[in-house]
Amino acid sequence: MSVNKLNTEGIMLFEQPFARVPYENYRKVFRSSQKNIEKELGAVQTAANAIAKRAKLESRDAEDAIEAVDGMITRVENLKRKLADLQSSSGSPTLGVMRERFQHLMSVETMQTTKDPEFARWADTRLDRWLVDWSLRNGKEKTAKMIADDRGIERLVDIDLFSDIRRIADALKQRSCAEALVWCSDNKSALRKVKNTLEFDLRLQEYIELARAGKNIDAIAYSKKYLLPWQETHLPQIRQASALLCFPPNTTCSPYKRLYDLSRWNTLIQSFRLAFYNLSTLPSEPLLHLAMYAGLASLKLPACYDPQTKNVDCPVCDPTLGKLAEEVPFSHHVNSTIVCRITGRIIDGDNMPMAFPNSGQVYSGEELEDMAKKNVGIVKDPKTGEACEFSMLRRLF
Amino acid sequence: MEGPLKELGRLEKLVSDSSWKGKTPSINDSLDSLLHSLREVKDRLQVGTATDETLTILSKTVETRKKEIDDRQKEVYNALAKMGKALDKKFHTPLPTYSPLFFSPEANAALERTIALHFLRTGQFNTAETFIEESSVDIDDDTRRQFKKLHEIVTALREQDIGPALQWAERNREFLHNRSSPLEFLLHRSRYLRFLTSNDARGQYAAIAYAQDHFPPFYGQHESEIRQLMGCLLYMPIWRLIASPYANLASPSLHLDLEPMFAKEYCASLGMSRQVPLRVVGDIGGGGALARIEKGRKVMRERKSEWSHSEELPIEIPLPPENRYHSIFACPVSKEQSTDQNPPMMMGCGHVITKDSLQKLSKPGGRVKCPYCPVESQLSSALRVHF
Repeated sequence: MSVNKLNTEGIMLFEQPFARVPYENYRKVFRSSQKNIEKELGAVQTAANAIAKRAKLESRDAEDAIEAVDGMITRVENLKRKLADLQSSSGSPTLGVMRERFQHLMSVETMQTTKDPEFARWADTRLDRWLVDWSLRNGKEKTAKMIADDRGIERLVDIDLFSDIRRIADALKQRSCAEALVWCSDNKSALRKVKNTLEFDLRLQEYIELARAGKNIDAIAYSKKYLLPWQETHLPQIRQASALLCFPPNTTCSPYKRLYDLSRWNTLIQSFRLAFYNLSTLPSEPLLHLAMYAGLASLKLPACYDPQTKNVDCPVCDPTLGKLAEEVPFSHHVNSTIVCRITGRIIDGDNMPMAFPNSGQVYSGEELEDMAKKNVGIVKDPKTGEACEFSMLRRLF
Repeated sequence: MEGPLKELGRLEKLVSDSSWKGKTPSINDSLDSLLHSLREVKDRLQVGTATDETLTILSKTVETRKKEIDDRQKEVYNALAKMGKALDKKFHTPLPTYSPLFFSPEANAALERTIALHFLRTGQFNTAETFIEESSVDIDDDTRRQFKKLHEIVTALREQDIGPALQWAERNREFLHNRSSPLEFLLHRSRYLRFLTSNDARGQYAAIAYAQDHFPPFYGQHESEIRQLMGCLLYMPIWRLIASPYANLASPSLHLDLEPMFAKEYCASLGMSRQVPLRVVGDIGGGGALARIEKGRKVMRERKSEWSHSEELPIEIPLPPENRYHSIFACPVSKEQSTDQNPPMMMGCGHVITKDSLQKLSKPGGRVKCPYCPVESQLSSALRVHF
């Protein structure tokens, strides 16, 4: 049946961050190795050229040359060691994670249907991954670690990534922009590519704090150094910031009161989170939320909220999930599907639905027939208690 | 995932330390070679056999090795870029952005409760404890105990001990009988078969004794099965059974199936759903529903038509039978779903359409002609049906 066939495209929609995060990590490792190589080898090259040149100009003192070559040897040995460290502590493990994750995704591509026991295990793991992602985003790190350990999925989740976010967000909560600014500088080009202005917002906030503390001279110097470079795109804000120095922190004058407002820090934390997620190809909402939105909307029917038609197996009928489903749209159907309330199965094929003549309650014909057989031809409506002869039931088409 | 995996393989080879014959030597090899040259020059300087030319050659050597390393880094960079492209190709649709979901305190509390119950239901008790501590959710002791007990019984079953499960089944005999569930008998069947198929020489005698002790009460309901089970005695040892007409009784799935069956009955007796709700919702959402919704949204955007978020999805999401929990009636005439205000009505001929459609089709005098058959009936005699 085609409904049971795996929708690989639908599944893969959720897996982009899963695959990309280790890839981006590896690129960071590569950039780091490149920096080290350029630094050390650049110096070695300069030194080598220097002693070669001096050798031509004056009679060389061997001692100086030996010292220079020693220096070069040390640098090259350092570089070797640094690269080896980088490889063993970050490079190889990241490649390993990439391989494990790519293969994990590959395995679901070879499965055929949702009834496959393999798929059940894969789906279990996926829900675990989503729960880790949700827990980390909501500050429940112990839970996240516990799930990862207990289910053996440490390499399939990105706990470290979120501890970075946590560290920087905590610093911002303590009203310190320093960590966030370091992160911005580490990711300068990526942020510029998406035209993200987080760095300016952070600098502006530091400026505001200087103004708040009355350190006007420092504020002006700070503005010259850190705000002015953004003048092409942010001139109005820079002008407004300059004017801020005329107003004390408890001003009631509208635009300046807003600049002094402490809730700006919360907005900064949000902006930082979103910038981080954006760069890591993480969605702004937890994957669990997205899956639940779609799942609940697919199931949600007015019948779920009607106490008369509650079904204990329906997730949306459950009061807790039903509360969450209030936020999602109803499902849309153009075809009828009749589910017998006695058996819980779909009425189709030769099994005709039959209605009680007075109450209009409909059930599967086969069930009512069984009931009649066991009860000398009388059937009783489970809902209303109405009893009548089997022959009095009306057939639906 | 073949594309990305292939690129990954190439990358792994490039950065490994082994002297794989790539286009360029490995960085480690280049550095070693450079060290060798440097040490040689140092020796010569110390012994006094170095000349101006030695130093010139050294400077050139450094340049050569540096270029080698740069070239190698370029190869790695290219391999990374290729992998990026392979990933872009594979994951061409980004995840959609939604404004914050389940944000309100009530929704958040409901979600936390759902998650806590999920951990309990799936037997992850330590995680549940940790989570309950870290959040503000409160699960009453009764519920926790019920889940713990379920977990204990299922674990016992997994270890081939049907004792606890049997106890529960005996206590809840009437409940199981009302649901026509063969659980109790199947538990005995499992034990019998284990005796029979064990490597123990006395297994067959134990099996017979067990059958004599426990099968008789079930003879009324399960006569043919008991006969089959006893018939297995003729096909011992087990390899003969597998080749016999009773091969299916040798399958291990007979025993494995008891776990979910027990869980289903246990949860039903407590008024809980038979499937794990978070899994059901997650599987539907992550199994293509979100992709379809996004496609639907995209089409609406292209057509520049408005879609109010809070009403109905713009497209139908197909659901497998096990996820059909309610009847859906879509009027064959108007294609709209029936509601309380617009309920399904059965006409005299037995065909059903919604009330609105019925009224639209009515003629003066209160008569209605069915769109599917030539029968006419009275508007007033139409029966409102409840699915």
